[in-house]
Amino acid sequence: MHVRRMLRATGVVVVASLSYGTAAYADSVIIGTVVGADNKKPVADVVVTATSPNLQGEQVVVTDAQGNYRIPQLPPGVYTLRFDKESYRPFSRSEIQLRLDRTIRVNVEMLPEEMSETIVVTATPPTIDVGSTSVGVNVDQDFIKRIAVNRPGGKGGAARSFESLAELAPGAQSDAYGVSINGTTSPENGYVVDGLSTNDPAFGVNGSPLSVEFVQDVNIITGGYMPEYGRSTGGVLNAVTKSGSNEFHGSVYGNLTPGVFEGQRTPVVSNASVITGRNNLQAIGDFGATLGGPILKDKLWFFAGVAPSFSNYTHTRAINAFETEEFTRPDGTTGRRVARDPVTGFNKSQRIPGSEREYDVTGQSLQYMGKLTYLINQDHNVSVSLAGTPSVSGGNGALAINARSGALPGTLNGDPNSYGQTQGVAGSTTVALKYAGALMDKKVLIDANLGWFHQTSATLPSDGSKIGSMEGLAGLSLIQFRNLRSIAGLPYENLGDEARALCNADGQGGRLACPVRSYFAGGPGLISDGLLDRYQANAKATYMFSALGNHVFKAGADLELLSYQQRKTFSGGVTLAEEADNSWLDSRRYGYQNGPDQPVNLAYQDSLSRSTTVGGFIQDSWTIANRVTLNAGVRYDTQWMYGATGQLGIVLPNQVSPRLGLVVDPMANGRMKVYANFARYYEQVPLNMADRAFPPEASYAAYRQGGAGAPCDPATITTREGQDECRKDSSVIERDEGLTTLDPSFKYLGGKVDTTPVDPALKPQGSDEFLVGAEYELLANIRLGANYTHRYMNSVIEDMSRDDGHTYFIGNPSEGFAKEFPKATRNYDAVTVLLNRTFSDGWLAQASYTWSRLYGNYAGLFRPENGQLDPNITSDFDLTSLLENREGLLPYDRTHAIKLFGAKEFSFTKDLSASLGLSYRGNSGTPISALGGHPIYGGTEAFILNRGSVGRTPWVNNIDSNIGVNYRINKSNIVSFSLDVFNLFNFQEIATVDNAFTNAGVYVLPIEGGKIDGNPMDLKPEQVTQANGRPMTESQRNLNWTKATSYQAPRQIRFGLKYTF
Amino acid sequence: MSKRIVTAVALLGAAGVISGCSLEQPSAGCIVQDSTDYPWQAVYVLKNGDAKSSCGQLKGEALGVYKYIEFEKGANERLTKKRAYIGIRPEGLASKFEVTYKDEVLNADGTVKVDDKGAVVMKDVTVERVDGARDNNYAIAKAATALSETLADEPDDKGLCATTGFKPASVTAKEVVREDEVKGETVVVAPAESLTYTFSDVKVYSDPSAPGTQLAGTLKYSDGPDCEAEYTVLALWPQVGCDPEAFANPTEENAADRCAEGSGLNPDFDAVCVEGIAGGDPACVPNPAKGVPAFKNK
Repeated sequence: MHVRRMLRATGVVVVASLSYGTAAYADSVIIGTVVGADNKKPVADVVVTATSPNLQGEQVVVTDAQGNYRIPQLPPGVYTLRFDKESYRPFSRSEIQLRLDRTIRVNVEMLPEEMSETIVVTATPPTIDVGSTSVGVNVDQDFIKRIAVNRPGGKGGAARSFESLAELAPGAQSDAYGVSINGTTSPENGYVVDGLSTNDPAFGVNGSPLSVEFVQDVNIITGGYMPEYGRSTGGVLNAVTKSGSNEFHGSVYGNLTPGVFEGQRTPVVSNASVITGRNNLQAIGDFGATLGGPILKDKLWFFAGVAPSFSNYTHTRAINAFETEEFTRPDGTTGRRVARDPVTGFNKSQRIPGSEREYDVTGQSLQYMGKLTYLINQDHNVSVSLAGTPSVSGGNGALAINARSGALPGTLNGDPNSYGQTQGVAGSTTVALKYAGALMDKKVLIDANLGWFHQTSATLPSDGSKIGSMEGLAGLSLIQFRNLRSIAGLPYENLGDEARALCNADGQGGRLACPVRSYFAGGPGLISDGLLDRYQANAKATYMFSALGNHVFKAGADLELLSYQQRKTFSGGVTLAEEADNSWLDSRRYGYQNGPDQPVNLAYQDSLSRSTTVGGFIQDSWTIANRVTLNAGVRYDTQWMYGATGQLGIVLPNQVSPRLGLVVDPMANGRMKVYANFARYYEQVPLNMADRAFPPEASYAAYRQGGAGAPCDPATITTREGQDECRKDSSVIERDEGLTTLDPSFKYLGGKVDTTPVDPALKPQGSDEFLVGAEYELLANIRLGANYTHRYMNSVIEDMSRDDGHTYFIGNPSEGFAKEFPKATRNYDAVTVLLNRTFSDGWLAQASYTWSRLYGNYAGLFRPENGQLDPNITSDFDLTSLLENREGLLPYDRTHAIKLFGAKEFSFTKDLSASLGLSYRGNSGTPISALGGHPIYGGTEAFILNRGSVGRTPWVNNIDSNIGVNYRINKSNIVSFSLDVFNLFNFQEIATVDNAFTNAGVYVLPIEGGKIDGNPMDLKPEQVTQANGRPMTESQRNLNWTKATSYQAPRQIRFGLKYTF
Repeated sequence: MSKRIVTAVALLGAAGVISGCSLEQPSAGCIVQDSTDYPWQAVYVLKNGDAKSSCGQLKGEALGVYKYIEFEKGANERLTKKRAYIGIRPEGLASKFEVTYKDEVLNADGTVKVDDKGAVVMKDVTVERVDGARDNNYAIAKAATALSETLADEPDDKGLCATTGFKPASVTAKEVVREDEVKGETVVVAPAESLTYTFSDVKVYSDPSAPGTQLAGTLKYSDGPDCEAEYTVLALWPQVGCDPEAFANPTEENAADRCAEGSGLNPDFDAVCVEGIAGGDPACVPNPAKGVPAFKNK
């Protein structure tokens, strides 16, 4: 323990303003008790003054009769407290590290002036949050600067988005759309920037990948949070942006991750296909500048920043020819077939020389932020901010990166010239107005936020043609050829004689060696323009009073209005697909039928779905004798969702979320706590469901005359003229059944949609959490903690069918009239042990170990197996037959997770220093399943054995390093160079494996009970029954089952240069 | 942007008023399952008429049932709903447009072709029975579909969606004969027929638990000027085959064959297995003793 003489004779500590950041969002608290050093009796009326570089002005409070004081509404930062009272020597304590949303206790003893003896008081400022039970980690710039975080690539990777920091918390891991916290899926998290939500209104994922350069502090709350946080069943990522202060400070920086330094990737052995695609990193980078300072000293400050970023990859498309061989059939005749590798079962192939074609894969973003903070007086301040994260990707021949997941393009199965015709546009704009005020001697605090979060999400033709127009790319239909052809015979490919010879060597015109079936050409297909808005207003009042102890009572109200406006169409009005009889199916088209054979085409489909959530909370934090804090509260929310036609579609009423927590500080000195918490959380359902179900979109279909010389001629159908001819009314052919059809329409199909019904007994989706834990401050700034979390789902909302997929409704599995469905379960149990040392005296460390188990039949708002992001309407619960053997270890179950982060700073001279940061992340593998084709749903939807019961993928280790060199040019100007190496040793362990036990098109029944005798890895095809009743055969088995489908991301090196002043 | 902020403030003010009303799930309105993938299956119960007459023999059949929503398209592809209605196309009418029969294959010299075992080689011949059925944009073919004038937007308190204004649906099909080349005689493959279906009082049951999957109504059927009979129509969706044997002797294993769990029907349906109504095969229909809606526990 650090022992220091704390009493000072005189003087006021002057705090130099070294850091420029000043957060307007302030929710942290310092509490404490002042006693006399002589008699240990409480001292009343001590003037306590808090100052910090992050605090505009200073905050002053006075101790009460019990010697207690409380300084609320503090922004996170490093504080100095001064205690003044007549007849006592003034006393000051500095280096108090206060984090976002934390309450820390600083008890002091004051020395009476008449005392002459020297009294030594043992004390360093504590860092344990004694006021709350919430768990997670807090990441500040000290950490971001010294540890390799924000891996390049992936979602928000180029911009170095704050959300990826969530992965640092114990119990967190990356998932397909962000970071999964405590077994939940990333769209369940609450993303909060300066008190306002930035969740994508339609899909729940983070809609604003704000650069960490704009962020002062990120608090990742993984559980145990109070009612003031709601509408989330995952964790809460609470970020506070930077503000200006009384001195001008700023930075200019740049980061670059070049592809040339990327480590060797282990190639995935997979079944060869005729068309292949590979993505290689060119470079990822971001650069920018920030500036903050006073406009009116002590009154009005500004902060502004701009941060462009880019991602460049190369996609190489190439063509393979399969090797063919002669074989003898059982009846003695001979034929040719594709040769297979006897070990992998994969087709053997060779690259067709000269078939490679390279595409750029590009993404650019230009983030910006501006903020004004106005201190009306010491007790009232307002701030207004504007932030934007616009980005574009692909277009003009370049391919796009998926904005929601960060995924790179897959194989380009079509005309090589038809790719790169669309541009992905995504981005967000946030406008926020915030007020914080204190009344009645700081006994009543008011916080109010008003915000508008606007998001765009569009895929548009890159030639600028408009959705619904028949000009340019928007007017050109996507064509899907579906009959078997040789790729060498396709005019779009431009393959030479050598290639033709290679393909035609199969003796079947290349249809065996170079087969293509599904091949796209023509226009871009689905194009859409979405505008999403979230209007938010929330206010909370805090009232502090004493009654059998100290109370911090909070009450708040919260209103959110969401809207999702989308205009979409298929380019050319329709996508045309070739049929086996050479006719063309005109199927992807928006429109309806006014009556039998009275189709009305819609040039585009407009929809506007909305949601209103109204809620509020009350909570009291009652501290008794400075030792026991009882946090009790309740939150209430109701959500109304309106469908695309403006009709009310669903109500999620009366979400009553009780939260109850107990924190015990046994020594009443802020250095230890033991806590327990119960919380009920409810989900705010994203608008995608309203858009898709209330009602679904209307479309109709027809068949058109095809073949050489017909209106839809395959030779011309990819051209504008050919398509004009094909799309004429006169090309529509009568349906197969002719006049005997039972459909009153003889030519056109479909065109009507009804709203999806909702179970009248529907309950909102939510989960419960139990949390117990303890924290102890071992040494100054070093906390040791342990906690246990148990989470489970209450009601879950999903779409289901009780008649084998004929009709669907939205309800709660196992409740209401979905009674024959099993309950949706997701049970998470975790034990975490952690050690945390905040940055001081030149070093920091964080270490955690988490043991966890994630078990159930419900993964969350997206399906990890196939990436389907359809919150509350995934295919998970569609049919009762899908649920056999579906309960088991869920895909994100990782038994062991170790996270170690450490950094040390070295000073060489007064002006030159360096830092070294190392991190280690070790995870045990994820469960493997045996999946097969489902008789109704196909794909790999049937669980042959109990979910996740076929062993695990291997343990994955990852070591990252950071080296920083800082050179101080003068008092406040510093140049820093940083080198982040991700996956330092380029470990190439298997990350994911193939879970499909059957080949495509093989439909099987789950094994009853989900188990076989012996090791599930030894599952034999004959143990599996096909849907037709026959046993599965060896040739129907996927030989790649349990083999690698991806490896760890390779080593990447990021160089950074930054100048701060 | 300022317009948006104004909108936001207006919305904030209005929000309480807009949403403050209902905590109950809204009705999904009158849903009707279309026969796109599967037809409806009807059973007919004679109400008025002579069971021995030619028109008093209907037992049941497949129905094509479709719901239409008529919209008015305004500027910017904006749609305004004008009305909803349904169309019913009974198999008994639709099937009259053509007939398929077996006829002898003739050799080039006009003699009957026989195979190497000496058997006469037959082929399927399909002929249309209604002349000009496609003229005037399928006017005659469309006359075999019964269209209602309206379909209610919302179900009544019993969950039934009323329809009004059904026009009669009819078909007049000509006689089809073939020459039996072996016997040297003319055989009537299909007699001349003139059939009329007049539906009335059709009500579709629509509830979130069974959205538009049962209907009831009255059918006046006539197969000529001299014969008319009135039936009660009970139908369900989708058409599902069944095994009368299993229906009579229910076990847990044969549920899918007796219109229960796994058959493709809503397992709460009180459905019975009736022979000879699905192209001659047995099929599930609502229990006539219950009427529509027919549920096990309602």
